[in-house]
Amino acid sequence: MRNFVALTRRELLSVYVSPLAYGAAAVFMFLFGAFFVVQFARLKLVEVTAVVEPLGHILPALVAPVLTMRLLAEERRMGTLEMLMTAPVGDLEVVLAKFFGVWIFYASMVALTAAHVGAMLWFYDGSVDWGGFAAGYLGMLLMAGLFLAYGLFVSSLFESPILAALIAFVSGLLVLMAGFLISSPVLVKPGLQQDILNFLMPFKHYATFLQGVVDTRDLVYFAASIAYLLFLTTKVVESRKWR
Amino acid sequence: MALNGASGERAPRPAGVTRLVKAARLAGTLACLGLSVNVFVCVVRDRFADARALAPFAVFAPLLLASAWICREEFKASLRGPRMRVAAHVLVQALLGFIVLGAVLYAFGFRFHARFDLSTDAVYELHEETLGRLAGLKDLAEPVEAVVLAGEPAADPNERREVERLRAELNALLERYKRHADELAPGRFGFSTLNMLAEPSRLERLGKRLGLATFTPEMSESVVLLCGERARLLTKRDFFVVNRTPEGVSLGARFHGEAALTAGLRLLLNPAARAVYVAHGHGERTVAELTGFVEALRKQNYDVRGLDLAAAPRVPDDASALVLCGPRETYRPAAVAALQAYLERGGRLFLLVDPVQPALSEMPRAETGLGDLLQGYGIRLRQDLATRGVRPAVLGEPLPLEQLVALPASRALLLRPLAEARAPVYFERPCAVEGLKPPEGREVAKLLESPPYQTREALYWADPVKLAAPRHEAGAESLQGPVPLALCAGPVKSAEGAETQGARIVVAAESRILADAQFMQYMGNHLFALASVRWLAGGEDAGASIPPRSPKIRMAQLEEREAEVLMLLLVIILPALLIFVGVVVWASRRT
Repeated sequence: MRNFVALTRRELLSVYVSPLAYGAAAVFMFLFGAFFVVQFARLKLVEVTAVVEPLGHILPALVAPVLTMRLLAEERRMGTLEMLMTAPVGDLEVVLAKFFGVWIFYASMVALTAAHVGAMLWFYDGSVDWGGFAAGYLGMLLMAGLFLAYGLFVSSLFESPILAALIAFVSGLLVLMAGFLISSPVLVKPGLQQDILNFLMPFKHYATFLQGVVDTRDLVYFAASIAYLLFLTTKVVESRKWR
Repeated sequence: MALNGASGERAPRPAGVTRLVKAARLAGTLACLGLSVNVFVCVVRDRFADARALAPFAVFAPLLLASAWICREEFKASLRGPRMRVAAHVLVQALLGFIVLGAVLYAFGFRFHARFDLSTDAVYELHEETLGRLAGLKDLAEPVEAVVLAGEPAADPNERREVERLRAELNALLERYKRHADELAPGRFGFSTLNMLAEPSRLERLGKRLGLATFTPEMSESVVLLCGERARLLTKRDFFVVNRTPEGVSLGARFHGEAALTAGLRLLLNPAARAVYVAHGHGERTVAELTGFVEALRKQNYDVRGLDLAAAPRVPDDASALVLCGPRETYRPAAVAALQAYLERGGRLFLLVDPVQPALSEMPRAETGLGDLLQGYGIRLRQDLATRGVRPAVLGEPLPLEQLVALPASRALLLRPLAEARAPVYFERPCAVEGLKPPEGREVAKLLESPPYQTREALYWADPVKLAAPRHEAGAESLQGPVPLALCAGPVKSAEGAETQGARIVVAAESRILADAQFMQYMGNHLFALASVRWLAGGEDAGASIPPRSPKIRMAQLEEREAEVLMLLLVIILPALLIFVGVVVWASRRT
């Protein structure tokens, strides 16, 4: 546990002193700000979806590959991963520390969206659905966690960070599109198969949070998926010792 | 691959064989890909029974087998290599992990799951009336089953999408019922889906129980509630409330599934219908004119009948409530006597009166003649017109007034659905009603009143005829709102909270609120009318006046100029600040 905390702190520090992370955060806030202002100015609706919907759908698919691409791929390329592996820390601890480090950084970027919520409330003086906001933000963080875990897994497979980012980005977009395509009864015949595919798609689970509802099925889905991706990442890292 | 016997080294292969192996490897990879895609398509489109969909298997499977045979030596060699051992290890562990993941998802995701609606509007929770109804299921000898009828998908994509939406809404709602029923009355409620095309024998059995010879395709997405020998059909129409403009144009439908299902449950378990009479003979709106109101009552298991008070001035004994909607003539003495007798024996009256307005053809030209009768119960009908602004008369006839919104004034049980739905009742030209000191043992309560300062414009009592010169000058009785627009009168409750028997009256200040255009367009009008009849008929705990759940719409006041400022702050300045911090970090690291 002590190793994990120390490694997480190291990861966080390395992210916060990385100009690239601030560049990614700036792009994130620019894109999110544009989504938010255009939608808010048009609809004027004071609701959680106005803030959280783009944060959970498109932005993690765009930003997570950039944040995760260097985590393992860069270390492999530079040869620092081997040094880390020889240190008295477990593979799982390394992977968990990298994941939580980047997740906390993402959460801190999301914390900046408090400015957007504040701006929204500045122009509204009625009762606010705080429960809906809490559920929406929770879902958005879980969704981001899933994309970050996937980005970390892809990063563990390649030595080139650019290639890792590209593959994570393209496959993330494919999942995003598949989520919409599966809902179409023209492409997928309604029935058990559609239900199963829908269940596998993260966006259906995220939609429940946007309604202000927290369902343990969705929590278990996200927790289990993140855990499974981190497990696979650990196995990939571990497999280097077997060769 | 052949080995050189003495040295154990690999014998060089002829160039043709090498090329063949490479081609076989490529063909095998493509065949694998093709097979995977075809299996996926067959699974998602459910086309395993389609011979054309299976044709690719006939092409790809032999190709894969042939390539595997050609590459068999290479394959064997690769199995012995260290990379394959690593890959096998990873694969086995990944599969084990996947199985554990599946078990966790199944155990915690499906068998023991909970759902919490954190939103203020609680749109996805069940109404307490529904919960009470589900709790009551534990006393039943047999469980209740809801069967959803699933038909063939429609050809039209839009229609198909609508059907899919309804099916998803219904399933989510039934899941909520099942989840709560499992807690409140374990094993007493369940639901299933019946495929109308694939299960004809089950459909036939269901039809027999409902007394239906056939099921039409339009009956798909209906729900059949079953309990022992009892069965009740809820159609698609029951699950929606259609909002319409005053001209009758549909503004779209709102899903009202919970009210329909809970009402259906009540009616399944307690099928006796109560009679509601709609009187005519003195210019009132008849059953034929109030189709929306009548249909809504029938959905609630009221037997709605017409009653000609002019021809036969007597209210039947089985009347649970009597509706007098907008009389335009003075009631004849015999009719007044019949109403008096009805109220004296504990009758229930829902009276909707319009202001006396000789200038307008659609308004009554004479008083109802019920003034004395109502005053005996603590209600006075005024001759004033409640308005929200001065409207000049044009050619002797005033312009139509803007709608006047009335909000629940009382916390009375009967208006709870209205308050829960946050739905105002819309009046156009209401008269004013006034509560008086009630006789001993009775009470009068305000049900609806206008807001005191609607659009910052003072309300006042206006002269019914000369709208251009309202009585809001010196000496006027009351110039400002709130104006009472609906009252109820009934016996005082005992100390234990039980209500003694006696006449109940609801008086509303305009009959138009029950007219189809108003009743179907405004949810508040709909709920007010149903809640009133329900209270009058004594069904406080037996009806299903559950408002449709929809989230409250919260709108911000944002000007164009302010949006531009927001754009500048959030899209330009905030990201620029982050870039600035990044540059500072970069510079500090360099130094």
